[in-house]
Amino acid sequence: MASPIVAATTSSSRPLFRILNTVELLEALLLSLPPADIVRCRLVCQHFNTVITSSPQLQHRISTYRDIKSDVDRFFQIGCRGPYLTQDDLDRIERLRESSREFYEREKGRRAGWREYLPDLRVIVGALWGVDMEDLEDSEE
Amino acid sequence: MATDTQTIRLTTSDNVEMTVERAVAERSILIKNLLEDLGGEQTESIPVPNVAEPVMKKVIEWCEHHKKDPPTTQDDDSDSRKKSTDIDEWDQKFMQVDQEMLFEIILAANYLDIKALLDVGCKTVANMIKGKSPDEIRKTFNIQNDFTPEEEDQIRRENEWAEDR
Repeated sequence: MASPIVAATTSSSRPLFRILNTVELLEALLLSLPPADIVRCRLVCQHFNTVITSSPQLQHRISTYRDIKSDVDRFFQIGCRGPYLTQDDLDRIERLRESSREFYEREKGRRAGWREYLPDLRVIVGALWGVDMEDLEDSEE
Repeated sequence: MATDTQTIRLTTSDNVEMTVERAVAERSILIKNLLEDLGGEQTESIPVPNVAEPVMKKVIEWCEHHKKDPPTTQDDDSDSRKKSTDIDEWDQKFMQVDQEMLFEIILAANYLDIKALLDVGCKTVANMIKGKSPDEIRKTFNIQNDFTPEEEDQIRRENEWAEDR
């Protein structure tokens, strides 16, 4: 079980430490953060790390983010090659579009939050579902 | 409805008695369930042993403002209420209190089982630490770094994927 964090000595921070030492409250607090921040919070202290790694909800949030991020990173890599897209690249973009569309369809109902957590990724993932392959090629100068 | 104007009395941890409109107090699931269990007219004052009067006043102020909000359903709580870090304008102003009060409000919302208020409180604290480094977060909350350098390195490696390009 999570070891309680070291309590501060100042009395003014007592309510804060009651929050942080209540696992459900720390979990609720972390769930209010964008996933990249949740990941970073593992490094705050042992207690934060334990709560993050042992919470199914937080772990789901992180793995969802990881999936999207890896798709987006791959999309960027392909995009960076500019107009010289090979058939292989186009196939891969098509697959990414499919998987992200499936992902979107699956997640939009029960996890409406993820797009708002990822404003920059939203644009790109949006491009993955929305943009026609022709448009994509035309837009390359 | 007749119940809308019905009032109840609450006694806070510092022994202050407050008269509150029943519909307002029932934003607290704890109080709502308690009233249901007791049934009928509630004439006795209800003790709220975990919340002091200044905090209770703030909580009641919030409940007054959100009296007409549709009740949150139990099923879809965690996801729908955590849609984003955006906070309603009135709630933002409401949360402009000193940190001590903010944390007390969160604890009270948790104890009284007022999910929407707990959510606003959590988002407000989340906004205080969003984008900050682990060290800045420790400073904000006055938390000690209790990792060994090895443990820290290990987590850093595990987190590498999440770093920006």
